[in-house]
Amino acid sequence: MRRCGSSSGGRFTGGGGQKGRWPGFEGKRAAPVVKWSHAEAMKKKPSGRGDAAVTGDGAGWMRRLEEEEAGLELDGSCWGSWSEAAATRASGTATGGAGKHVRFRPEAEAEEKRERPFDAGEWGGGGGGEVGGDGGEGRMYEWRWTEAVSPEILALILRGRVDADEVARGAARVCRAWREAAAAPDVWGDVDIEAWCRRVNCRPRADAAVRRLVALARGTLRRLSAYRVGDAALAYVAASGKLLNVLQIPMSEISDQAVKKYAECLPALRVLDISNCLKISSSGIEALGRHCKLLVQLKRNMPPPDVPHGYNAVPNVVNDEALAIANTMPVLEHLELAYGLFSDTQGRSQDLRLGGGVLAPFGTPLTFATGDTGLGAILTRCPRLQTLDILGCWNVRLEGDIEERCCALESFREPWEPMYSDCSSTGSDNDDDDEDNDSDN
Amino acid sequence: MAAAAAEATIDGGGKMIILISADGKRFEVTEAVASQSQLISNMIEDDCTENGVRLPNVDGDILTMVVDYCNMHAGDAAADGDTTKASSTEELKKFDAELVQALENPVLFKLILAANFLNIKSLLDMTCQRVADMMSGKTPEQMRETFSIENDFTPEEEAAIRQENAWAFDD
Repeated sequence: MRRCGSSSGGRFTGGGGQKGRWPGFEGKRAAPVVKWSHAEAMKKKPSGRGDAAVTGDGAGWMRRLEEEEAGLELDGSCWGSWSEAAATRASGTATGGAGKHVRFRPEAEAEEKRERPFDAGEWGGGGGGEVGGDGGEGRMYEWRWTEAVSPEILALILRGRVDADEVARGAARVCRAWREAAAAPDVWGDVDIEAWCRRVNCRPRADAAVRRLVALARGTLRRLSAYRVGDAALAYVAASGKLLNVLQIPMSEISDQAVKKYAECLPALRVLDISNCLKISSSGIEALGRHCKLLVQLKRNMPPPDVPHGYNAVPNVVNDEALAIANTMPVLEHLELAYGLFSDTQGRSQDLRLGGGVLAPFGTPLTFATGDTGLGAILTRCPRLQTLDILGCWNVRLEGDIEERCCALESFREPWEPMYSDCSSTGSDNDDDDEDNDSDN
Repeated sequence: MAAAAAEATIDGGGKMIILISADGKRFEVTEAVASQSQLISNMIEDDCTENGVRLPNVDGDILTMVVDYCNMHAGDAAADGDTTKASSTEELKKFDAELVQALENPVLFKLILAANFLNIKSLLDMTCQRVADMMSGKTPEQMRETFSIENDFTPEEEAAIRQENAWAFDD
């Protein structure tokens, strides 16, 4: 800021910096204040080179005048900084000024945006000769990111804020410094390519992307959000998945075999989304539960059945997934099982029949009381559960004390949400409705 | 603001801390305000703020903004039982965003550097997010324009990177 120097610096630093701001600025408010947020002044340049550019050709000078005028207009607004805003608030006159100001800024910014590329081109082209003489370079820019911003800062900006595919398409291809910065492993620790995967919607390509990203992260991968990946992707992730906290891979075509093979490589996993992964079964879930001891959030939402059973029909009751969860994931806090086929009805013949068949493959020493079924087991064995979503689990009747136990959770989404309602409504409101309905019955 | 700060001092009875910028400007702020900076908060804990805190990486102009920001946000961490405060937090956030949007690149980046150095998470998040938003959806060429960066790749290098990052393209 100090560097804005001779051409416009006087205006700028005078108003934007020392004077009139902090601490005794109120008395000086009438003085012409140029906001520090006022862009034009800064634009002019660091060091002396900018002056050369500005005076280098007539067009540049004209622009400068126009900017000066724009600046004067900006000066007319009342606030330009947090301190001014604070003062205005404190004096209780905030509302009017605020509205005006707030609308004003973006316009000013939009205007700059439009003009800036033009400026750069103009200085580089029209003023090129002079500039070249001054700076010893063919192309002149008023300010250099690459000199001012370290790779660490760029990494900080990119990490978790810009999607991985966008970094690869954009930031990494801007210049050498950016490419280097974008190659830092910590840029790739938090990777979200779900939107990209959905767009591409191609498993081999998604797998290839995951492979590349895992390589870039060099063992620092903490979060991966993708979509429709395959066994290969899981293998890549597992190879350097010691730190992986969050794995979100809905719609993936990952097999039970792969899950069983690689689950042990994901010891730090806390959040897992394997919704609509149709090839993963209860045995895969069991393997995940046994190896990922820290798992607190599981999303296992499934596609709605083609022909809705409705809750008076008797659909297949399949409790093994729910039992696998109950048996192996004792620290779960958040569980989503939309359109699961488990039940909660106790002592029905179908449960007895299926229960025997279900428990056998586990080979676990755990035994269940007759009729202890999916949902009941989850509620019993996951004592930390706070959020439960069982939308579309038509087999669940919420009979006995099950309903009470579900409603005691912080957030509970019951199976029978109307098909066309706003799905965002979850939690206690629903619970209340539900209770009312049932008591009517 | 000056009045508000003074009040805070009286109310909180907080100690005042002097921050000294790279160019020697001095800013007197309350502990509550200053400790939004994790760096300074740690220094306060270690009791080494007696003779003022020198911040050789931060210009006076930028420190002015940072102090302004901290003053405005001093109440954030404190009790939010005050309803007027709660309602104004949203407003303040919006105001921050607008203000950051209007910053020119050099100022924005100095602010990021300062927020990073001083370790003020909310300010760092906000300013970094602003830059990320500026990158969003842009081609490398557009980014060079936005951030005034020269393309220093040779055409061969450019082709190689395109190849390297081929996975990320939709086509």
